[in-house]
Amino acid sequence: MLTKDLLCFRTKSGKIQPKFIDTTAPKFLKIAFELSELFSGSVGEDRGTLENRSKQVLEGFTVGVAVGRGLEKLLIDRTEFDTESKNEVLELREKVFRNSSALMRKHEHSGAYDSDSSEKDSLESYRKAMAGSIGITSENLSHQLYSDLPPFQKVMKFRKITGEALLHRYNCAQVQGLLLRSENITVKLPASSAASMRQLLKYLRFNKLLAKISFDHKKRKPLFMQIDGPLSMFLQTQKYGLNLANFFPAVLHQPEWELDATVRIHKNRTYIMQLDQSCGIRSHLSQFLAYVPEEIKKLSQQLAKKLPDWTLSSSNDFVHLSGENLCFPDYLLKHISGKKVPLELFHNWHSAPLLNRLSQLDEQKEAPLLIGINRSLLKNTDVANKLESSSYFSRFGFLFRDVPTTTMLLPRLETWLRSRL
Amino acid sequence: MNLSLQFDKGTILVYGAEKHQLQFLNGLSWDERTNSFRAPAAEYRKLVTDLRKHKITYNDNARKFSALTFPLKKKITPRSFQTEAAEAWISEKRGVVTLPTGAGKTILAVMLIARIGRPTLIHVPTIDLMGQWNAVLNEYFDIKIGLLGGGVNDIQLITVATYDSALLHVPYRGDQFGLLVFDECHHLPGEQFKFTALGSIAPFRLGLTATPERSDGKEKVLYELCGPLCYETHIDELSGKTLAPYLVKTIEVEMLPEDREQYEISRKCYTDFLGKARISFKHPHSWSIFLRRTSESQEGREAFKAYLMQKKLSQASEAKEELLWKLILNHKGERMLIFTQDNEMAYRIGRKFYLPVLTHHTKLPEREAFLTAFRNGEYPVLITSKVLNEGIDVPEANVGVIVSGSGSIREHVQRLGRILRARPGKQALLYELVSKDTGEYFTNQRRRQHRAYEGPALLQD
Repeated sequence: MLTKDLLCFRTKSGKIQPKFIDTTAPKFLKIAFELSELFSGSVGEDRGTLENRSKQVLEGFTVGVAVGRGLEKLLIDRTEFDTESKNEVLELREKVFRNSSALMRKHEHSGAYDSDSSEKDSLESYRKAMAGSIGITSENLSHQLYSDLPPFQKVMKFRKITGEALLHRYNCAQVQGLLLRSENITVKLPASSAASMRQLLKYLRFNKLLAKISFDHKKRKPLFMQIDGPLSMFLQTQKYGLNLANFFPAVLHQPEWELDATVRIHKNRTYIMQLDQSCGIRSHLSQFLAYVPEEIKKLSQQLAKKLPDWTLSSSNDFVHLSGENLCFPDYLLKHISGKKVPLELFHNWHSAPLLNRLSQLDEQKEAPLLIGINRSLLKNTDVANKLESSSYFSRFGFLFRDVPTTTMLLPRLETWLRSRL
Repeated sequence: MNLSLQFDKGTILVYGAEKHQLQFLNGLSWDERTNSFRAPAAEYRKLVTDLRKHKITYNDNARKFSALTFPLKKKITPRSFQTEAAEAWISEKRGVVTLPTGAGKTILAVMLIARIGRPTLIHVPTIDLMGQWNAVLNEYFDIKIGLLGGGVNDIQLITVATYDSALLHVPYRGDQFGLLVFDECHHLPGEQFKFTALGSIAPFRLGLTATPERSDGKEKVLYELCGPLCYETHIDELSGKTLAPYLVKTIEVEMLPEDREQYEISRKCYTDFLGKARISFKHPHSWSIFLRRTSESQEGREAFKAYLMQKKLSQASEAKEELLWKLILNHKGERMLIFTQDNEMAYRIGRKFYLPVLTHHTKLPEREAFLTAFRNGEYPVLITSKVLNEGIDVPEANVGVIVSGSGSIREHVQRLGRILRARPGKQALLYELVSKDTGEYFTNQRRRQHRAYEGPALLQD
């Protein structure tokens, strides 16, 4: 992320626009390439040297100071420094401070560093005596005494990045820097597929954000998402600014998007930021659609062995429930006959979403999905009561301990198949 | 289904509320994002009080704590003002207590934790204070004390957390504590820190500070989150009794000729630019205007460098270093804390005089070693920039030297507070070094506007 002094933007008529850099411009590509090369080869160097060399690189180009420092900041964020203090420096300090205290005590009454003599003279004789006690010159002692401060810390690791990716990262960080100071965002998604939408909602949940979703009822798909946090409905707050900033790269994965945010960059004034996919920023986040948890691999293997009529795969579609509620089930079970039923799993941290889901499902006329619930959720009396009274759960839900098993799943699959006859 | 309460990421979700019950439950809002009623977690106490008052049956799935006993293993004999403060707070079991540094705020909190008997989360601004609270709590309670912050994540029935770590954990742990203690609670109204109070259901809250006033006037937020100011006493009221009598000496330091010449050149460049750009620091946004204007031209950038240079020279002139050395010699055998405005100056003095410097760069083991050596007299002098401003207990310190500082009244009062803990026969002495005929004079005038620097407790030189 970029600090406020490194943000470059324009404000006009109540609007704010980040100043993006051209990611194809040779001068920016060259500076980004040289900087990332410098950082890539810096492992083992100390921070002070790296920063000086980086400064020299930046001085060789005619880009704005804030742009250069911004690129440098993003590279420093990817660099790991050895912040552990070295034993020899700690030992030196301990010895020096003991000596300095002893020297002052020893001469407390002798007048050797007496305040009546010239301060300069007494300080010089004190410094000489101290350096002598360690066996080095006073200048060297001054230099070595705190030689574990940040400028002396060694580079341990650097996460490599290409010059072009760094420029995209910079543009993304400009937006993120403004989103840090925003209260909520609205995202319009005219062309998102269920799969990319599902991923977006995963990022939403991962960043502990909530969304009010408006639908395009004709196309039966989400259109707008107004995104903020649990407390946003009670007070205007930038508390979720960091979550929104972290969420933004996920928006960049959508094929088409428009984003509106209210940004409070100055204390008493807000500005509107409007962006869309034409800004051309590439996301630095990787897509995680391909990840399959261990529990599901096991269930899949069990199905192949014990219920060969059924196969399990990741679900790339959403289920539209009552009102304006969307459900993105984790998995899809497919019967040999071609019939498909989604499966949604709830773990011990899902008590609130589970209570919501049960209320929604009890209002359904049909059975849109199966639900598996981790037994640990029964400790919550609300969940336990709700499960006991839920007619949907009694027909299409099951409990599991660590991993869903075919024994638990089979009766529910049979009920569901019968309901579809 | 009964009405039920559920904790959710710093809020309370209310399920199963019937229409006729809603009129009694103020503070709830319908959240269409989740199809449920929701309130900030801090409303829990009010919500439960309303439910009980109107005899509405409910399942409380939000509260993950219950009443306990925390017997004290060591008897506390409170001072009269501590007893008064405890009684004032206990009537509502919420509120802010204002006591000067060294008056025994930690002991007051220990008394109230034992009396309330609920899992307690204590918020502190720094790792050093976390260690200090941990030591005191271990002295009085016979249970393991939890720590949250500085790389430690160990939650116990009584836990000390830094504000930063508590903020990260409150969405998950906001249901686990019944009593929140906010040390140096003037931090609480900060844009982010307020969520540590807002996102917790804890019905009992104790704020502790020496200076609740904030320059942004947000004390009101503090009282909303923590409860009203319920007890207050000042440095001058306790000086000579609970606190050591003190003397403040302001020394105007003449710069060395070469420093003075450089200062005048830089000052002129800086003030000429202000005049030319018509920037007056009486305007509320003047600082950001100055920053913007100085970045727009070469002349502006030079003016900004000149601004930094004249500030650095007035705060950290060589003449100040010479005088400081003289003060160190004059106070041989005493315990001296030296305060600077920034780390650079602190390390410059440390390198020159070969003395220990304590800043945020100092790792925890070395930090503790420095403080222990200072307390037991092995190291008679300790240099610091900001980290010792707040809370840290160094009762042995009797001489303070402010080499440089900001214009903040709070910082100036806190620095004085560091040397005021009473010891038999102790008289505290604070030096303020101010570069003569520089802008630092006005900074010093601004930060002295407190009764601690004006009151009758101040000894005459």
